[in-house]
Amino acid sequence: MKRIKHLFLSLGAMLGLTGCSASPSQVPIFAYAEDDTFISSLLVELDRELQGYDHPIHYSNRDQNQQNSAILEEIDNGADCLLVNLVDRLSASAIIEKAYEEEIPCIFLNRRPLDDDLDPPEGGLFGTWVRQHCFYVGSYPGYEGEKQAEIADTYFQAQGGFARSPIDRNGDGVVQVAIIKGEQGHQDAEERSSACLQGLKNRGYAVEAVASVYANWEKGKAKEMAASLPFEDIELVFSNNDDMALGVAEYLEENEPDLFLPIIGVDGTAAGKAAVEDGTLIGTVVNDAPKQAKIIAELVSHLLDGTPLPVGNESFLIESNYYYSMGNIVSSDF
Amino acid sequence: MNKRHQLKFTLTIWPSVIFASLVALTVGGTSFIYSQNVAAENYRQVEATSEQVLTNYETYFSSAIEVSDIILARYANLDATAIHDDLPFYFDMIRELNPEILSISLYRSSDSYPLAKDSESYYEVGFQSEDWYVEPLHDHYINIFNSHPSSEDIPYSYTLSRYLANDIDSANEAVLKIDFDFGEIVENISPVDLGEGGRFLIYDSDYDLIYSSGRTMNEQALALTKELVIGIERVKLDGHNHYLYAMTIANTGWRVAIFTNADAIVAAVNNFILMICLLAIAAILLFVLVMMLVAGRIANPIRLLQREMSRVASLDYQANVDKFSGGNQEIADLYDSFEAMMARIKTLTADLVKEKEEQRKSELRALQNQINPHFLYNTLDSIIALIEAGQGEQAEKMIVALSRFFRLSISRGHNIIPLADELAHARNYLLIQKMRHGEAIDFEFVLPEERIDGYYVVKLILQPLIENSLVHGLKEDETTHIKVTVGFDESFLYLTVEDDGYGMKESKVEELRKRLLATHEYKGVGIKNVYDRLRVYYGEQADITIESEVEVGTKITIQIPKAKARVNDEAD
Repeated sequence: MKRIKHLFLSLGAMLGLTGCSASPSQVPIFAYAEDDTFISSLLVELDRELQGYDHPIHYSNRDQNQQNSAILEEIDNGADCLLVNLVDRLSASAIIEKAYEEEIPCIFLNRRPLDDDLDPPEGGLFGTWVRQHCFYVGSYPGYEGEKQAEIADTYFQAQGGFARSPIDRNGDGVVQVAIIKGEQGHQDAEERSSACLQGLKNRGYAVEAVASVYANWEKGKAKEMAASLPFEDIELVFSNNDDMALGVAEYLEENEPDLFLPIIGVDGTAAGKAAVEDGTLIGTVVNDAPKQAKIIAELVSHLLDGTPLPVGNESFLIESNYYYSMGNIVSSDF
Repeated sequence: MNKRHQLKFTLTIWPSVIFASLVALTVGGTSFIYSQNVAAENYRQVEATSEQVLTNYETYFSSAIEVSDIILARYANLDATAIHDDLPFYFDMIRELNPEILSISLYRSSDSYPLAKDSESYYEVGFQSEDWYVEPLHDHYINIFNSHPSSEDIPYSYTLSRYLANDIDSANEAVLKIDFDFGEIVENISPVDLGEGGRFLIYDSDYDLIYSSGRTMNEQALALTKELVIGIERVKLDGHNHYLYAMTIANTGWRVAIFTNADAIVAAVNNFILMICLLAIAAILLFVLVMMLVAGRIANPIRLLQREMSRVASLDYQANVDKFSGGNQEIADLYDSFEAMMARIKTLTADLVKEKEEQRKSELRALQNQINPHFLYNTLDSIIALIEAGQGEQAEKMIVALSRFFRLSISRGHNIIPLADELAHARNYLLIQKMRHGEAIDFEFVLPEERIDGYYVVKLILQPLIENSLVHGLKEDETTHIKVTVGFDESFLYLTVEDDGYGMKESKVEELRKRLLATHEYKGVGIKNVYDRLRVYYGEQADITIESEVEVGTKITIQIPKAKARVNDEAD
């Protein structure tokens, strides 16, 4: 079936019906879901950056099987490069193998394949090909958490240090922290959560994680979960994203109007930035969708048109075929 | 010579070739479309069935992952006391709800210290380098699936292991290990009835086999799967056609491959193609047959016409096309025209023959009139001399001979006279000459034993030959003998005039022969005149041969076809 299709396609090309050079390269995008705020903003940026290419978007509805089918279909259609936002990180190996068989380069977005997938230990033709044609573009694991800790540190210092400041309400000098996680066991959630705690510790603070809840990355869910938090013991809230941070803020505004808690988010969404402006959040870390989209476009251009590979800088870290964006801090003047 | 085909062949072959091409094209197209449709239909069916199997497995595995998820969610907020006191009961409860779970245990990741387990199982020992323990530590955010070797009690089982974070105390980060019995599941939700050689495989991303419903050929099956990676494709396994569906099982790192035997489909398609091909061949044969009949109806009358025409080429104008009355209006018209033409040709030919005959006769007359008139004057002079010499008797004899001679010469205007008359004519001539020349000549006639009546010849053919002997052959002071012979053989009548006179040199004979064959007239050559008349009347078969030798004599022979000598076409 597929070979026949290819035959017809190449026949068509030979007859000049679809001149290869005339039609733009096919760079299909596979997003794991349609309702993810960050993925949506990344897709908007990608749409801008990939103007020169055909880039149909396939949403996989959180179903890896559906994503695989869409990928196979686009391979049959003659895809030139695959942009894959995985549903299941464990399926990356199969997609890479298939890409190798079909010799179609592959860039993974936002969800990182396993370490061995992009750097196969067996080497050989396959390993060499993968290292040259498969890439990952995303934010640096835990980087946002580290930046969240930096915001907290800056904030505390602006108060003249944490201990004995009004924020240390129980006066024990230990930072009592609540963590709002996106999901239990989710890479971004766990990395950010542990990195923000570790970041505070590294800066010399005594830290106690009083509570952690997970709210499925949603504002409403976070507001609901906030009811179970022991706010009298909490002095700082780290949220894995802005949506959930705003959910907690809303809960506090409605139920504890007299309590002021510093809340720090991640993503730098429009709502998040606005909340920083008006002081609802003390800060957020931009998950740099425009920067990632630009790097992805540069990689596509490298893979299809042979332009040079992107060069790393302070806002972009490159480790072999892993490309990590380093987001900026957005915070109010304390 | 370039080869020309018969009309019938041409009329049959070209429509047949065109028809056969059309049929072949149709059959090819139909077969292609049919097999494509069948393939596509089966492809969809196999895909749907296979996806259903995969969905069943994913549902099963997601229920296993759910167990690890709730433990992970609970563990994140547990302090050391709760881990120690509550977790074992919690594990027991989970096992009670999930009977396929064989054991649940938990080990601190920092030092492999056993933290908790269900009450019925035992802690693992010496596991620090085993995959189920190493892999979760390497990647904290995935469920690790490792299958176990088959044992007699539990043929299929696996371990799900996972890194568990602890938000209360990071020192309590741990690795969870859950063992599942897998046997009942594969029995219950694996597809059955995949056909001969069909099978269901579960394998990991290194293509190590975890489960197969097939007993043999699994290595080959895995090799095919490795080529496809994921997707669906037609493959050959152990000589059988299969649809191979390969896909990942979400969140496990494992994959499934389903081989569905497609022999029946291939056979059905092949049967269809075979049948349609047979039908096509039958249709083509029928068409050729019909074309041959039609072509025959057109070509046969034309062939008959052609045969009749070829008779014309061999000068036979008795063509008859009435034999064939079939055929179309055009053919009938053609036949009518042909018949009219043949009739016209017949008439024209008859006229032509008649005309030729007339011409021949008038030519003959003209030639006969060329007989030398000096003979008459000389003879009359001789008679006068005889009368003057008082030899009245001799003169009378001579006049009688002359009278007969001329009577025969005239022969009532006939060209053809009985052979006897021609011989009498020659004898009278010789008598006259004998009387004139006296002892200088002598002559004799030699006749065959058989009767010569019933033979006719062109008249005045012997006299010129005798005259030739007298003119060229007479010896001085010696008697020259002249012999006239009549002879026959099977096919010819021979008239010979022989003398023993001077004879001729070979060169002279040659010249004489040449003159006979020349086309233009030589004045005063009697033999040439005879020769021409013979040829005019008898055609190629008549001839004159001349033999002569100096001092020996000359022999001239007339040869006439016997059959023609028996005919007197001037008889009334």
